[in-house]
Amino acid sequence: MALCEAIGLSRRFGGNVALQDVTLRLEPATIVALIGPNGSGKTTLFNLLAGQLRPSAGTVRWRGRDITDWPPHRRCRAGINRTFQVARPFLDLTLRENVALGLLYGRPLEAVGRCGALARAQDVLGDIGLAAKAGEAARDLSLGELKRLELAMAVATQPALLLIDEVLAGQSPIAAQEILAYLARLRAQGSAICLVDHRLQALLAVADRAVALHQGRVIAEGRPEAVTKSPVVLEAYLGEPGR
Amino acid sequence: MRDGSPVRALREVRGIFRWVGIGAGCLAVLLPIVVAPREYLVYLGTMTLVFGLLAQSWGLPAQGGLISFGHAAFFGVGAYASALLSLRWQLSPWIALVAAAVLAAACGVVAAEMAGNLAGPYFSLATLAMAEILRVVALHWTSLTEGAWGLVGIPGLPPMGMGGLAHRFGSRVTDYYAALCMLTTMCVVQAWIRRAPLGLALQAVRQGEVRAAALGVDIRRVKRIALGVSGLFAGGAGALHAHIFRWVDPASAFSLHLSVLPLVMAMFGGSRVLLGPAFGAAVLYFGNELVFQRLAPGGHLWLYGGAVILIILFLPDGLLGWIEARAGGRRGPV
Repeated sequence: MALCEAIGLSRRFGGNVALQDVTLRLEPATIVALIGPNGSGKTTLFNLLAGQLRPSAGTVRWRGRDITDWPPHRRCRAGINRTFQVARPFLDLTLRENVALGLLYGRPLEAVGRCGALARAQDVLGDIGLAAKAGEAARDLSLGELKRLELAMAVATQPALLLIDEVLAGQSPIAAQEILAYLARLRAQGSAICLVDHRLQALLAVADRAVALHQGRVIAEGRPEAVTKSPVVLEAYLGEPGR
Repeated sequence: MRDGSPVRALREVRGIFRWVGIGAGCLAVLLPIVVAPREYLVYLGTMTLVFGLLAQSWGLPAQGGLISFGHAAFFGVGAYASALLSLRWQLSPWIALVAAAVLAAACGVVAAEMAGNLAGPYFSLATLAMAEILRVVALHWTSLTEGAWGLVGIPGLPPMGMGGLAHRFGSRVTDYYAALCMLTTMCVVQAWIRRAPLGLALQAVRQGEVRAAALGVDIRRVKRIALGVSGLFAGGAGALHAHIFRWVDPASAFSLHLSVLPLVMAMFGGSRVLLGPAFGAAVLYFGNELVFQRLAPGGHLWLYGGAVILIILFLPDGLLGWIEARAGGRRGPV
């Protein structure tokens, strides 16, 4: 039984088909790179898995249960968490409070209280290099820091499945390496991770498996190097040869 | 939750504010004795507390970005329910008051459910419509509400002994202390909520519902609690108002004025500061009655409006918000 399964997922926005008949299995302790050109449906797939959108057709299964109709907060508590491509931390709250929210509401069974959550949030921020700014308001952060805060907020709930949308954008090369190393540590602890990013080389270096989307369909799947070399993927990114 | 206790919340308020707060609290407790036998001043104090309660109750959902344009709905439901319970069913006004407040709280929960995913101006307009609908219902359900005639002869709150205080200082004293108790309770509940996880969740909901839900916050539940608690105290204010005036009619109980007033008072005092709405109510109501009306008996509302406009233009955090920022007090939860 896979940790999370998307079965025949489709999503239409009016006449526009964003995702069509996508089937995907996500296993524990595995990093999957989700690649594809702009508009290929990567973020839509995240929205369907984390519950921000309902599919037009198809089902989402979590540890064997059908969770297609579950609202986002319930999926979060079940162990699915995500970051957003456009970083959306709560700008008027401090970094520590942002992360504490995930601890307080994403893990309702581990009642730690608000003070306990704030203390733990400090540790989570330390892991991702934001400890020094923990007491500042999120609105004072740079874009790269906001993205890292997004990641910390998602990680705080200790999700079994982590969907990460473009966290490397705006990071220095060193920070990007640190984030990838951090994700590798999470994988070692058993998390399933699904990564979307435009920095393909960095992404594929850490991924165990790659899935390529184009115009809402899965066009290739398998070992990262095999997927990137596949002719259909090259064509999707670069256009048809000889035209 | 241990770390969210009101005692602790109080302890973290900066020294100067603690003493100013304690001073204001003592003055509020002793006011009827200080001003005795001038019943009019006790009445003014009572009305300040009732409007303070309404404004303070408005401020709780506002923490979560739920800007209500229809708090008259809860006020009116509380007023009518308490009036009917004590008139038709001869319940003690005290019991009627509590029951009416609970009914208004239920209305708050229903409003949260019906408003569903509405946010921003859409939510505000929905609450405005809710108050209007209830006004029309109260106007036309004549068999229950006597329609536009209103309900008259509502029993007042039976005077409490209070060691002969009520006897010595007049019947208004009971109303005053009932209002003071309710406002204090509301403020303690709000102080507790601000320190509890719910306080963080409310701020998160205001700043981004989608992000909050993705972190596990049950948005609907947060809104139900905020509007339920708000409805409880706004309904209590309405019930108290009905027992003070011994009369209620649709145009006054569900008036647009009562929906706008808490909003104006909260903005004036500072809606982000714990006691901002009550402070705004105190300054505006007392200021209007005791200063503006003396200065310009014919045009006191010009002064009232001017004061509100000046504060909103130059002190967008409200008067108490500004004072707190100037004195370096704690701003919002840590």
